[in-house]
Amino acid sequence: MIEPMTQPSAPKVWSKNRKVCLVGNPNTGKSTLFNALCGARQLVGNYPGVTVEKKVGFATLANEKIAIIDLPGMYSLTSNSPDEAISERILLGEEASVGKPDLVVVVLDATNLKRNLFLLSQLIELGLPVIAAVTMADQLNARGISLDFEKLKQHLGIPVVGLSGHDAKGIETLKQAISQQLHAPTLPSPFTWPSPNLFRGMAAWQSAHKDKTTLYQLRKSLAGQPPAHALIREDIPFDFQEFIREFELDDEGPLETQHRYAWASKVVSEAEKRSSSSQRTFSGTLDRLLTHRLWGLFFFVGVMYFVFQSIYSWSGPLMDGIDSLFGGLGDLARPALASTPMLQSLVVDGMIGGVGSVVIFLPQIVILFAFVALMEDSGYLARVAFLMDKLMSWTGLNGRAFIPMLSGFACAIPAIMATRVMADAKARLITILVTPMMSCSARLPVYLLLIGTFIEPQFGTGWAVFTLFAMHALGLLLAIPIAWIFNKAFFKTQPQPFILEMPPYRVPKWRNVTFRSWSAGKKFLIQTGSIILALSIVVWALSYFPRPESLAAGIEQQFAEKAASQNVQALEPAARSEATAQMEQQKDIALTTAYLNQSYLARMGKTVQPLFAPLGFDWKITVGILAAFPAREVIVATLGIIFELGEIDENSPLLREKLVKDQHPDGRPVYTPLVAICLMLFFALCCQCMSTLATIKRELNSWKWPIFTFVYMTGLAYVLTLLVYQTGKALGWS
Amino acid sequence: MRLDQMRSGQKAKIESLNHHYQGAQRLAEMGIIPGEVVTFLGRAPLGDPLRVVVMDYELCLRIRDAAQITISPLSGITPE
Repeated sequence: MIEPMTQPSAPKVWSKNRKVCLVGNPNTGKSTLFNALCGARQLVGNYPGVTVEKKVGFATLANEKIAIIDLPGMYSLTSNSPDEAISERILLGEEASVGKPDLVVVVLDATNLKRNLFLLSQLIELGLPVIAAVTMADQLNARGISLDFEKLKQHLGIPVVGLSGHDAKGIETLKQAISQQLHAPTLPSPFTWPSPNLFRGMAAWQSAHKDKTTLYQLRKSLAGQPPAHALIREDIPFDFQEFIREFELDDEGPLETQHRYAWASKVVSEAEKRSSSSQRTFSGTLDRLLTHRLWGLFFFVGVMYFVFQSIYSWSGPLMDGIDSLFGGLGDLARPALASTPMLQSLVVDGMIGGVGSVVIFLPQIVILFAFVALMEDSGYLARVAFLMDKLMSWTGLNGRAFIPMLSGFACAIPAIMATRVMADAKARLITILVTPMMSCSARLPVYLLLIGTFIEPQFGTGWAVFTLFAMHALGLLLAIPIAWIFNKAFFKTQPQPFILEMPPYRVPKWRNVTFRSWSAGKKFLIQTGSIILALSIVVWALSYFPRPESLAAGIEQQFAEKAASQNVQALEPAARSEATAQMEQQKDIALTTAYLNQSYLARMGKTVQPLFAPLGFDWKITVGILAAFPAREVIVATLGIIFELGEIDENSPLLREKLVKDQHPDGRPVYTPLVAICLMLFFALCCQCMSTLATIKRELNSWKWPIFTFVYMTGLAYVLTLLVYQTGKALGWS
Repeated sequence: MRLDQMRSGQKAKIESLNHHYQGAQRLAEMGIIPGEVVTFLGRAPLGDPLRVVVMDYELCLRIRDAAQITISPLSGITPE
């Protein structure tokens, strides 16, 4: 099972274990191999200070527990992204939270050897033993490729293990190779680039300076990172300087990369034979359909519709189930704690309610992640990015942002978690910041209540439907220009090129899909859940305290007088008990309302009400807005309590009636269609969801961005609502 | 001729890559290397990005990036 790392920075548990780094290009079956090696013995966390996911698994080889570090999929070690930077640091032994690795296992896709060998050419220069695990070996025949493993081994000078599909024997061979290399490591001999002479010169220079710099670092600095002139010293052999000059004069493109590929080409030409030049027939045919300008878009819309339908409708019963489960739990706990009302309320309303508000998102997260994993593993996600890139590119985002933004319409929490598929850190940050603008399903009860109460009766069903649609379109229409503004404001540099591998279509592995969706759910529950629970308790306390005794006494007295005046005692026994029960219920509701109206939350609402007055909101709406900060759907229940209705939902005719009748002290109605629209507008844009904020904190590993998100969204909501209300009032719409 | 000017099904040899371009290193790492053969597969429904085959795998890249790559078309264009 996946356990959270309690302290991601201190690998106490496994610092003494020997460490194997699993490295490879994306789409090579690296995750499948990692799961096959470690099974469920995995730890998942974050590297300190960055948002890169840290995955460590354990395998027992020859009675020794080995830590296997699954590095993010990458094409090169050269730091282009946070993923690559952290991987480079780990492999160079510079990452304190991991320590120096003992061995590198590089995963090579047998059908795409040349490009995979590029990364290997960097890895064999690290001064670590390297094993090549060649995956997809079973697909070679179908692609018309014959690969000579012996020759490959010979040319690479490292152990090579062929793996195919669910091949238990291959995994065993790999395990043996790992354990052999750990006990008797053999260092790979790097290719002598660019000439044996120069290579010897470099090696001599290095030993003369007692330099521990790896060949990889040396070559990288020659390629300009850091600039080569930092290395030019008088004691460098002459031909070495010549070489550096050659570097600086090159005009055809990055020379170091070309040399690495020249080496890779040579290895491939020796070890591999390709019988035909058009092997990608199946994927090619499918792509002609799925990326077609008409059918491709049709299919895409169909897939998206299906995904959303599933998130909305499949999760519905599950969410209702979770809701009633926690309701039931509360009902169970209530009588047990009846003797201590404060503890009862803390446990039932604060804790059970708080945990329930976390768990309720679980079905949506699990379903969305199953779809994301399915789409990614099948290769379709890359096609979605291809189809949608043009829509997003002008804002500084790319096609990869489309799925998360669309998922935001169901719920921002899984949507923000889904941005993990984005390799470009800047694009990912902006996508996370604008995704909460999408109108999620928690806004729906508020829309339904207000549209059903103020728009539909007065303007008809047509306008009601239009309003609902407009509320959903608003977030998307605003998110795109906001993304553009953020990109302009935060990033002065030119964007990285958007280059995406389109992997061949493959049948997804069910184990991988279920594993990913389950681990996403679990991570959300544990890490986000704890933050939400803490904040729920704070909001509970604000709405619970203070509870002056006098208040209860006053209401008791009020109801006693009422009972006396109605002469309840004189009624028939049956009617009497009914009347008493009714009275008791009314009293409870009146008491709840009185307590809430006295609470710190209500006082805060009344204090900040002048701030919301220009938006057309009275103190009751203000309290509702404050109470809805943890979760926006809470406003309906809060309004229910304020209007002395007890527990109600958005379909309650009583609440609708109360809203219509509610008046300002001077007799004007509080809720006009304009106020209703303003309230919906405010809810559409304001960031009232601490689960979202907690998720942003978790994903970006800093409180800075959730605070920023809250401020910009709430600010935007305020300004736009103010504009609409004041304009509307000036035009006489109220 | 530049890579972004190619037609569907066309094959070409990569001549050079503008190495002053910020993304040159990334493009080279992905296999955009002088001398390699590139096959143009087509454009996205909205015109950008493009799909090409290089080093026997499929790559999607934007016009902006493709415009940094100089190619010379190979004779014997294979139809789709």
